[in-house]
Formats: sequence, C-alpha cells, structure tokens
Amino acid sequence: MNTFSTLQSILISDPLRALWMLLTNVKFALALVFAAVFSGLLGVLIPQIPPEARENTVARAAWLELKHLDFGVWFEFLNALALFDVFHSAWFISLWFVVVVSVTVCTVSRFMPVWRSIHRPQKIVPDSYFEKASHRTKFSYTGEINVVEDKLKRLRYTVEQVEGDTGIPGAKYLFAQRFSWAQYGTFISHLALLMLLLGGLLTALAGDSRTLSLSEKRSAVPLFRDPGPGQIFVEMLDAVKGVDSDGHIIDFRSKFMVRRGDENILCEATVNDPCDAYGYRFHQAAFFDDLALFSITNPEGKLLFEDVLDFENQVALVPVISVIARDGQVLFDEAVPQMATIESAAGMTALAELNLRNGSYTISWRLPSQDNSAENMKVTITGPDLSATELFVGESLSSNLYEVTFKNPLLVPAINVLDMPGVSNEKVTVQLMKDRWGSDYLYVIGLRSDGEGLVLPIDTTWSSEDGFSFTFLERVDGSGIDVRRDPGDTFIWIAIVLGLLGLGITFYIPRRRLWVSFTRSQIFIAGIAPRSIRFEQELRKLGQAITGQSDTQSNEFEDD
Amino acid sequence: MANLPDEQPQRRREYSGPFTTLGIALVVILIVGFVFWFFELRTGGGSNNIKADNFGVIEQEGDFDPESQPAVASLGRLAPNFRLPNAHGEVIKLSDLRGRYVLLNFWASWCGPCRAEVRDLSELSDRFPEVLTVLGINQQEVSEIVIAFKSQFSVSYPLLLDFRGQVSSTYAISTGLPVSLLIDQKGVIREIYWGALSEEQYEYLIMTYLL
Repeated sequence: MNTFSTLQSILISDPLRALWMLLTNVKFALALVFAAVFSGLLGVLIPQIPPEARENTVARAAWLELKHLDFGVWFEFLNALALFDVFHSAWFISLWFVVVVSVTVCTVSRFMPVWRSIHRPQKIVPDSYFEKASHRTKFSYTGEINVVEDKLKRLRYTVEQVEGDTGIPGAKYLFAQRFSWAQYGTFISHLALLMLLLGGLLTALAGDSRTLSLSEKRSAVPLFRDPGPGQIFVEMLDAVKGVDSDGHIIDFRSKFMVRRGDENILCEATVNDPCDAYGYRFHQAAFFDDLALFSITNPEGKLLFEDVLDFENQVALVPVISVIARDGQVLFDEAVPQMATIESAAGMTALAELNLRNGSYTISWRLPSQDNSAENMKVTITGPDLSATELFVGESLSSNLYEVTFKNPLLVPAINVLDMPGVSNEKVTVQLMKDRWGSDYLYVIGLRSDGEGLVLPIDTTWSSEDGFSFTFLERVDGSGIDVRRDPGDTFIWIAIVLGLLGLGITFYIPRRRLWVSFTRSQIFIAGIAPRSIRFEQELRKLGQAITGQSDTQSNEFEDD
Repeated sequence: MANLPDEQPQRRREYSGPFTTLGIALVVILIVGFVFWFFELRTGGGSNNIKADNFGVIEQEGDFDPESQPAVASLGRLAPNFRLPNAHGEVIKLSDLRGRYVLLNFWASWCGPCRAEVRDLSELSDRFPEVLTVLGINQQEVSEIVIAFKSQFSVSYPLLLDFRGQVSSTYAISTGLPVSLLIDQKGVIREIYWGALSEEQYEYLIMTYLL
C-alpha cells in the first residue's frame, strides 16, 4: 500500500487522525510559517484601514473609496482578498489560529513519547541491534561484567543488568543511561514556542501603549480619549532631575497620582523602575525642565490664559559675562539675554546691553546659522570707555573702571509665541533666564510698547498700557510618561526562559543511552546520543578503558 | 522479541486519540480565550468601552448625491459626512451646512503652522459669515487643550473634537498638518490645501467662491 492510499484510508476511517497527521507535519508547519510571514509583509506594504475608521462602516467605505482612486483596477482584486485590512481579515486570523493549533498539537504529541522514553525506557534490545545501531562497537573481553558496570557508573551512568532478548547461551546484558531527562529539552523548546505565540497574541489583542506629557502644577490628564467610568487620570506631582554633587545627571524620576473613580494610587517611576496601576505600567520616558507657568488677565481681571508655556526644547545662545569693579565688587555675573537681533549678509548677530555705573555697554555675538553650536563663540563689547573689543571664552578685558570677562556660552530656553492674548504684536519672544543668585526670570520682548525687553521675575506681574496683566508664576518641570499595558509580556518572558532552557538542555547536556551485551569472549556496545557528539570515539575509549587494549572496533572502521 | 529502540524519541510525535492530542489543543485555545476575556473584556480592560456614540463619520443625509458617486475626500467628490461635538458638547453635522461653503481645517495645538494661520482663518470666517462656515477639526486632543487654544488665539469659528481620529482618517489626514478643504454648497470638495493657506490661496478662494 503506498503512502497516498494509506493517507486516503486514514482520512476515511479516522479523519481526526488525518487532521493530526497534517498538523504535525513539518512541511505543513513550514508552509504555515511562510504564509504568516508573507501575509505580514503584505500588511506592511499595502496601506491598511486605520483602526478608527474600521469600526464605522461609513468611514470604512469612504476610506476604501479613497484607495479605489489610488489603486485603480487593482482595487477590487486587493479588496476582495481583504488586503487593505490584512491583520483583521478572517483568513489571517485563521492562519494564526492554525499555527497555534499546530504548535500545540506538536507539543502535546511529543510529550508522551519523551516521557515514556525517560521513565519507561526500552531496556532490552534484540541482538541484531548490536550489529545495526548507528553507534556501536565491539571488542574482545573475558573479564567480569561487574568491571564494566563499575566503569560505567564512574562515568555517571545509571546501570542495571537486564535479561537478554534471544538468549545467546551464557550472554549477559546491561542497560545504562546518563542524563536521560535531557530529552525533555526538545519538548521544552516547543512549549516555549507555544508560549511565545500565546504571549504575542495577547499583546496584539489586549496590549496598549501611549505617552502622556505631564507638567507639574497642571490638572490631571485623562489617559483615554473617550470619556467614561473606566477613565484613568494622571496628575504630575513632582518631576525630578536627579544630579550628583558634581552636577552630573544621575536619574530622572516622577511622582504622580493615578486616579480611577474614587481610587488613587501614588506612583513614583523612573526609566528603569516603572510604577504599576490599574493594570497599566507607567515608565519615565522624557524630562522637560523648560516649562514656565504663565498667566494673562484682561483689564477687567478676567483670566485669559493660565497655562504652562512650553519652550519645546528651543533654545537661544547667550554669553555669561562677569563685570568686576576696580574695588573688587562683583557688579554682574550671569547670562545676558538676547535683546535684539540684526540680520546682515554675514548672518544673524545678537545684541544685548549692560547698564553699569558709567553708562551702557553693548555686547554683540554672532549666531550660528545651522545649529546652536557655541564653538569658537566670541563676543564684542563696546562701552563709554571701551572701543569695540573681541573676547573669546575665558578672555577678559580691563577698562579704567572694570574687568569684564566672557566666562562661557550658554543655551537658554527661548521661544517665539505667536498671537499672545492681550498683545498687539504678532510675535513675542520669551527667554527663560537665571540671575546670578540662581533665581529664574523671563526676559520678554514684544510686550512693551517701546520695544524694550521686559524682565519678569517669578511671582511678579507687569501690566501693559492697555490694562492686560502678565505674571510669571513659576518655573515647573514636566515628564513624558510612557503608559503601557501588555498582558502578554509574562508569557513572553516565560517563553524566553523556557526557550533558552530547552535549547541549552538539548545542545549542552550530554545525554547517553547504552546497551551492552557480553558473550564468553566479546563485548558488544550499542548506544544512542545526540548527533552532534562523536559517540563512536567515546565508545572506543570506553572499550579501551575496560579492556586496557587499544584495538577496539567501532562501526566507523568495521566492515559489516 | 524486542523491537529496535527508537533512536530519536524526542523527535517522535504520537497520536493518542482525539481527546489527548486534539482535545488538549482545544483546552489551550479555551485558556487563551479565558485570559483574553479576563484582561480585556471583564473590566472593560481599563480602556473605555463607552464610546462617544454617533460621533464621527455618518451616512449622507437627504437625497444629495450630486456626483452619483460614493463620498470620498477627493476633489470633485461628495465630502464624507460627519457629526462632531465642540469642547462644550455642542454638535455640528456637516450635512446641516449644505447651501453654504464650508472650509474644513484639520489642526492640532502642537502644530506650529496651525497656530500661525488661526488669525487668518478667524478673519475669513468673520468676513463672510453669510456664505462661509469655517470648521476647525482638532486631531485627537482633549477638550481642555482645545478650550485653552480657542481662548489663547481668540478663535472665532467652531473647533470640533475628532476624539478617535475617525474623521481625520477618512479625510486621509495624517500628521502633516494643517490641511484644509473647501466644500461647496452641494457638499462637493472644490479645493484641498496641504499646509497653511498662502496669501495667494486666500485671495483665489475669496475671488472664486466667496465674492
């Protein structure tokens, strides 16, 4: 009976067995994996219906019509195969369903043979096996069987004397094995694959990930777009940049409150140490220290704006200047804000002014065209008692009254705000500065009608001629919090551990199984070991150790 | 008589009947189903099951179908109809604005060019209140942000909340904001502007459609 007719008869008499044969067929498994990978590739290459449009038939139809215009005559064909929604198509889900079933069936089907082989091994083999085994050897020996048994035990084999099969007169038999449990390695590897699939499935179906930008002093931010009783709110209490005694950043961490209904969970999270709340994991993902809490009220006292002014990582290049009087008094020692810029053919130049005892000093410096690189930055200082003098970093100049030093360049948060409420100018420029005592202040250009810059220290209000009031409430910190839910991750971690364990056991635990037959003058040894091991060599050495001879023969050089 | 031993038992697969082989596979699938239910469905999964119903893209209303073709966000085609709320819960339906020009402006508070063109859009809305409605459609931001934005920039036209991004997706808007579409009195898309409108585009729009 050929294979086809055997298969046909099984299909008719026992369809479930035929199904089992299909699911455990290696070629079928490879075909499934190839199909799954190819489908995934199609899903990446062909535009897919956005999730928000999929749930609405009208939106879906409108989106598909858009693709109809793009793909022309190919549209009907691609749409009929659900290739615009590969990952949610019935055939794709069915494919993965079959993969999971196939791996499950394979894993289950391997368990019993492995278990039986370990716990109820075949201890008796036919005498012919000693002539046919893949790994075998024979040698002359007239000693006692106990010597062989002891030798094997010293090699960490478990050994027992067994009855022979056909009963050659006077023949004795041994069964020995070492690390037989290592056969579980393959089963464990399959189990790992199954766990990996299940973990991936759970992650894909029930996983969620989003990032919240939260700043201190602001009200709680909802986690989900849609309102409802399951909504979770997150309120930033304290965003911290940890620095050591040398000023080096050592960590970023955030303390925040997570609320759902009446329940509150106080969380503290860092990049590597997340906080878990309501099934979600909150990680520190980013840190912002360039936020200013700012408010504007109209002439009637109505609050127009009270929010965080986010400098969005935009910066301005400024010099830190110190001015020391001849009597040793420090008159100025801090960063100088950009008060104006001049554009010329040579590029942009920033200007600032320092008002000292004897008048006003002008400081100018060239702004880099591409980035804020402060390399080779130089400032030019002009004053009542000074002609234009250039200073590089670290250089000083002396006038009759002062010693002026360009200490270092500095990048300070700076942003252009368009259409600020209560301001007639279209654009207002805000720089977040620190004075020599470390206090923050805002330097704002565009508020004053005379065009001059305005220094706005913390908790200070400035009122315009039109009656609008501007207050810099405080500088605040903020964090980007990565919020994830991944119910599959436990499965995936277990799968990784199992996978490493299974492969390690399979490849590195030297499992062996031996059958030994004694006749009056000869010993025959046949055995099983992983293919990667040179078992014949081991068997030859074993024979030499038992007999003290060097002429044992293995099947490598036997002429059968 | 003994058989020859199985030299690779770890590779062997054994059919022990439908219950112990195929049956166990079924049990695994049931466990997966249970776990999925436990994490995702039992408590609403922490995500919100209560959707802002009826918001998003909706069927066309009335017998308007001037092009006799399905609605799609493309020039010369009927604009997909939608129903969206503003930050205070007032709802606007696109089809209710038939008979007027509608300028849909897709925006987000984080988008610099969107902020830059708000003043011009407000002026346009204020200048042609009889014939034009400007609708700002915010991309998936919370209502607090939209309220703050409206106040900060003194926006004079309605700002609608596309919570789930469904309308934006249907109009093929990705993160390349702003995008504006001019829809005529019959609901047909006449212009699509990628990026902020230039002065020339404003002028053309006014001269061609609004005056």
